[in-house]
Amino acid sequence: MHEQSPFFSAPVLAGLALAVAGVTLVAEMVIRSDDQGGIVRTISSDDQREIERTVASDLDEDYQADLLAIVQDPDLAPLTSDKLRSTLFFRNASQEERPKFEAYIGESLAKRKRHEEALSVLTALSPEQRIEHGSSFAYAQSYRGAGNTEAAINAYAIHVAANPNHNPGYVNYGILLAETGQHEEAVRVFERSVDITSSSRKGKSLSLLGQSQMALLAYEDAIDSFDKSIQFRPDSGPTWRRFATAKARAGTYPTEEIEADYQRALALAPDSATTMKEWAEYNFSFGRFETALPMFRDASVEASKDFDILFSRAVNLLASERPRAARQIIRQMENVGMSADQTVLLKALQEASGVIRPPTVETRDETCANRDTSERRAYACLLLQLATDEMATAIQVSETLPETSIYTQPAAFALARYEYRQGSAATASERLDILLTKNPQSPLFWLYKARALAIEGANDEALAAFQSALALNPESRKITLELSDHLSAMESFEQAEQVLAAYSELKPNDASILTALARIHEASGNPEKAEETLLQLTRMSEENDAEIIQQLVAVQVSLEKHANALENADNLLEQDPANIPVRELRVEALLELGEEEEAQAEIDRIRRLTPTDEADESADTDLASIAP
Amino acid sequence: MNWQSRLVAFLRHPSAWLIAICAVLSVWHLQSAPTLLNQLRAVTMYDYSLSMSFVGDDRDVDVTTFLPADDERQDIIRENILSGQLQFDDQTDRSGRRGMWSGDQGREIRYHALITSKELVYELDQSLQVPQFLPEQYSQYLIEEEGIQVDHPEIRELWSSIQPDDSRELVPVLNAIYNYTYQDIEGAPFKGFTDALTALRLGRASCNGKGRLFVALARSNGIPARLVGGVIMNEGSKRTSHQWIEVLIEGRWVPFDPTNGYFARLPENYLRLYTGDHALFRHTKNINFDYRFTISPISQSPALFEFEENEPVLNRFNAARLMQLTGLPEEMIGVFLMFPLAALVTIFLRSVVGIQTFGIFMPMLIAAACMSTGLWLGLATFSGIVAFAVLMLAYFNSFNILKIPRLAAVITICTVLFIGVLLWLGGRSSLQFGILALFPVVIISFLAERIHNMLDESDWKGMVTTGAGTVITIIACFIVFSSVMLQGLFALMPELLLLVLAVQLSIGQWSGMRLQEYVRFRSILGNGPVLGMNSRNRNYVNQLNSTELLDLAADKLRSKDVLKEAGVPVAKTYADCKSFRELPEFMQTLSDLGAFALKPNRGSQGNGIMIVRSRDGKNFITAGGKVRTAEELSRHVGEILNGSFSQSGDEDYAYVEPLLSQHAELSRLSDLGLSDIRVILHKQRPVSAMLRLPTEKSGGKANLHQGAVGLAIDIETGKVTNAALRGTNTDTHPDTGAELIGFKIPKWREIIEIAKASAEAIPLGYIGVDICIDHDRGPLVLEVNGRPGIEIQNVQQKGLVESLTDKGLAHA
Repeated sequence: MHEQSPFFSAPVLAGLALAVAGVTLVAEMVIRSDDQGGIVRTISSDDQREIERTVASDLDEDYQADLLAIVQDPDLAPLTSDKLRSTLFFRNASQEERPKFEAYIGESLAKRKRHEEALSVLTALSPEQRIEHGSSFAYAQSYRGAGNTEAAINAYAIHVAANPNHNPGYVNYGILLAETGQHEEAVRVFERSVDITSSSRKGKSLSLLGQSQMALLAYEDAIDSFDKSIQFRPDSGPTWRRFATAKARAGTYPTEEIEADYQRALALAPDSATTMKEWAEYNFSFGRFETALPMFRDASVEASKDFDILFSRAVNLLASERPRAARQIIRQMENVGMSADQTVLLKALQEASGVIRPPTVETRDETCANRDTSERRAYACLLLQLATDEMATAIQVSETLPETSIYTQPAAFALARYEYRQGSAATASERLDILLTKNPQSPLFWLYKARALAIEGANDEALAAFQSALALNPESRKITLELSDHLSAMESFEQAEQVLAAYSELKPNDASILTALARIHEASGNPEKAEETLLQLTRMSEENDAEIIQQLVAVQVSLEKHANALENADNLLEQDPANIPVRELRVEALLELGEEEEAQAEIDRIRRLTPTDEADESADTDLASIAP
Repeated sequence: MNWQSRLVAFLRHPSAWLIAICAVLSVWHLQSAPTLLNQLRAVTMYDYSLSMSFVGDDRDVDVTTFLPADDERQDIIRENILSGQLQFDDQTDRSGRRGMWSGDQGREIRYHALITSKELVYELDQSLQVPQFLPEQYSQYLIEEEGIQVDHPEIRELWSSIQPDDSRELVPVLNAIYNYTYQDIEGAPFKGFTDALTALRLGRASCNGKGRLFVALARSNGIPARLVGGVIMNEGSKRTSHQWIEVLIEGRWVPFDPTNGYFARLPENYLRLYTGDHALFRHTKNINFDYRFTISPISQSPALFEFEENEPVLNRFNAARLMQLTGLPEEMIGVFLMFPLAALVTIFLRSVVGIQTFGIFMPMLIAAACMSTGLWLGLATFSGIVAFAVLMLAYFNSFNILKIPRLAAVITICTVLFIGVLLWLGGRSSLQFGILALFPVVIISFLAERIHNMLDESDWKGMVTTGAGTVITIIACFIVFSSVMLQGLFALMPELLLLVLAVQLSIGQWSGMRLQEYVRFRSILGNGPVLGMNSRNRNYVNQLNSTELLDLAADKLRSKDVLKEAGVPVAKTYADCKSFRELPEFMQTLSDLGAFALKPNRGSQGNGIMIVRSRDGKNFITAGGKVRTAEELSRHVGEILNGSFSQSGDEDYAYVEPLLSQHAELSRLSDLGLSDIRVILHKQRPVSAMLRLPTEKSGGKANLHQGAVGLAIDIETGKVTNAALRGTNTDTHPDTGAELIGFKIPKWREIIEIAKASAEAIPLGYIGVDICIDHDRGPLVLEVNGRPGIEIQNVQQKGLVESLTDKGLAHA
């Protein structure tokens, strides 16, 4: 009961307690010491190297392997900052080293395009820690990859400020600035990139610089940049294309030179839909709508879901007066993924082209509301203004388009065409004169100029205009026919025949041309040639146009080839029993052949087929009875 | 006992299991989180307060200022905003975090935050170049602003005079600017706005003028720079804010302070509030706006507030975090965590060292309260309140107010006083009083009561030793409470509480002599094993005395009845009073008596006993010669009934006995009061005895602590073998001069028999029987004591342990 070990006596215990208290006090003093581990950072000139300092360079290989294992661990996917910090590796790591490890993980994730995960990890670090551990670029890249452009721009700005010679930082930063329309800052950034980077990368930076300069309409600067870029990268098709487009937009370079550049661009990148599109747009911008047609078609083949290409193709088709084809393309556009702006553009095209009728004021106003944001929006607006007969407003819209816009001349032409169709031939003619002064290479401009002149009665000037149009587009059936019609009207049958004949040489089997030729032969008192031409036409197809046969019958009657005429007339009447003119020709042929009874019967039929007011019902009945 | 049986015994001990569990958990915990203990390093936490006052006069008032925000360097642990009836909103932009208050009701705004901060140092490579390209985002830091005249000819001229050889090298350029603004521009306590040009022209400027000139010179060299505003968190109360500079170097904003001389460095105590050239405060005009920063740096364990949510479960098992989840105020978490350890320290000091305190755990509570005030101020404040409470008690006593209402009144007055002190300090001091400070106020009232009683009894020595013990315990507990390391350790590893519990239980099972007893019994240490208080309680009282019997012994009326029934002679009981309802009748009985002894039923150490020797008309003359009125006597009875003298503090009974006249032989030794004989019996076997003779100093009481003389009695012969007065041997009575040694106690055999009969009637295994020898009736049992004191050993000049174990002793 009273056994008490001396080791547990009060003095010993008190001494022990004092010792524990002493140790505790010493420990207390140590942990209270002022050394609380502040933040110490070194900023060295190493940070000014062209290649960004990455965290990997500061990390042992063993650590790298462990960290990569974390990145690749499927159980941790998707990796977040919280998950990362709860791993055994991180728990065992010292506080000082953790930011370095996180930076490495973030960078590794960014390289693997696991942007959201990279952001989760890297956002947990302060900007200074990201800079210190070389992950500021990966951070910016991740924001970009995740689609947060604004945050990415800020992150790139911080990155290039911290790494003033890191060219990829500038390039990506500039690209995002350009994408968001901040072209002036983009030009500064790309200029810096050009200054700091070596020759192998300078070409790309120059090309990017040129693009931003183009966006600022500084075409000469852009041409200079592309020119220099091509010296570093002569095999870059896109650069050649941009070079050509810059020249095209500048408006001061010969077409041959521009086309040669486009040609080179296509040779280097034969499947480049963008090159095809831009080349086509170049032609479109100068009113060479016909020339642009196949180019747009080819571009569409390469990129059938590219809204921009389809849009340009559709407006080119509308400008070249192919509304049906345009509507087909516009319907095709409905299946393409679109931005909000593109949706508005599509709607505008649908109403301007007649896919949706009638054009509404709402669509017009919606389209025109933000017409300053893009040239094509302004052009679509103008088309809708014209469709809704707002000519004055349309003129105002056209005046807002910059001189170098690809839509400037098409817009002016649309106005001229509208004026022409509204009967204001003189106004249209004046507008076309301006267009033709700037750009005498557009056959359509000349065609409308000719039409306007013809209406005004200036037949000779109109003839010259028709001829200019045809010279620029000798394969145009429309121009050929209109020219031949014009010549016929001027009773210059021979010239008209020559025009048609010339076209027939190019396209021998064009029925319209042969028909017109036959008509001119007939009008010029040359029925033999007319018959020959018409027979040529009938041989071209098994099912001939009724009009051609009728014309042939008439020619044969005039040539007193009554039997042939009678045969062709019978053939035609089998297809078209109600064709009175042919029946009349048949009567004439029967009488010449002495078949009066049959002629009388035919006359009776004609009488029955030529209904009077009272005989409507019976005529219908007769027609029914003679039907095959 | 061999080592194996010792080991088995140890393993059976609950403390062993607790220690084992604690060890296993600790090892597991540390293996799971090897870096856990890294959080033990203390951080300096700045207690930052901003108070703003104004007179709105019911006008719409707008007040805006910059508030601290988290960044890599500084961390806002928590904040508290008292806006009154004003509407508060905060917005964060590139400049900083703006706190905005508006409304037409309010005069005062208080912002309080706990902030940690780090020093920031940049080491700059000498070969760094002035930036040649900067993203547009930074262009704003290069342009001229109001007060920052970047392109002014005088600025240019100045630069041409101080520029280094190569203006493209960044560090020499910054050095030139820094040296000029730090050394050549004299510091001046300008309070207003000083622009760069004025600073240049005067050659004197405060922080904002120096800063603007620095920025102007940097920007004129194509180096982005900006002003930063904040507060230097030195301890104290002030109205001064501060401005310094940041320069963009390789994407990082590097700090410079040309006022206090920091180049590419920011000390830990700089609190950043805003970026740019702004005014710290904006407010409606003519509202007598005033403000004051009050800052107090404190060391704190990060384990109490840095909780990483992504830590594994074991790391998250942080006691502070768990306590926070319960909604416990954060400032109390650290203190609460330390309560078990403080309790351990308290019982160690009490049970191992032997320090006596006012209240067992009251010092611990006062120490906890001192965490809000600081130790010395806290001690001074609480001492002042105790002194005030004692005075108030004395004052109330004069109004004959009963104990419980009196205590309630003291609590009320102390609380009001305390609130008054808090209000008074609130406007004049940076002291923060927590809710903890309020609890001891209640306890202090009881403390005051006890001190008042001690003063009444003139127990100065007891008061001094107990007071000193209390202060020592408060200091020890305060050290525990304020230990950053211990707070962190117990927060991070709550399993250590098992260790604390194990030690507490071990101390509870430890029956060794207290350190203080080595001093107390120093003269008999070589004279047989001494029975310490721990051993007495654990080995004798706890083991041999049942609770029921202890209760019976404490109940004097009941124990007298039991003894009387067993034929043990006891003093006659004239009357008793068990409730206030019986008080008039009891008083009537008293008024009929000429001399008597009025006693509390459950009193101890003679407390509450009033000896009335004679009458003076209606008044009563006490043994000390004092005159007590019937009303005073009635109040004394009321005090007894209220439990003022009860050992447990519970309500009590009063009873009255005839005044015993002492045996003539004993009166020869001392006639200053009734002497008594304490016989200690172990299992009904007398093992020790002493006679207690009253002295003048003891006020006629036979109480050794109060100065009575203790006479050791030989059990066999009944002769006095030794006499001791307050631990010092003496041969004679200090007042009567009577020879004490060799005195033979009259009727000794009878006394021993009465003692044995008492121990049989009330069969406590370890009992002290107090017996007096009445002149007429002979030996009478005054009372029995289930917890007899151990001072008898000093009187006997030998340890009691041998006697307790020596079964061959006489009278067995």
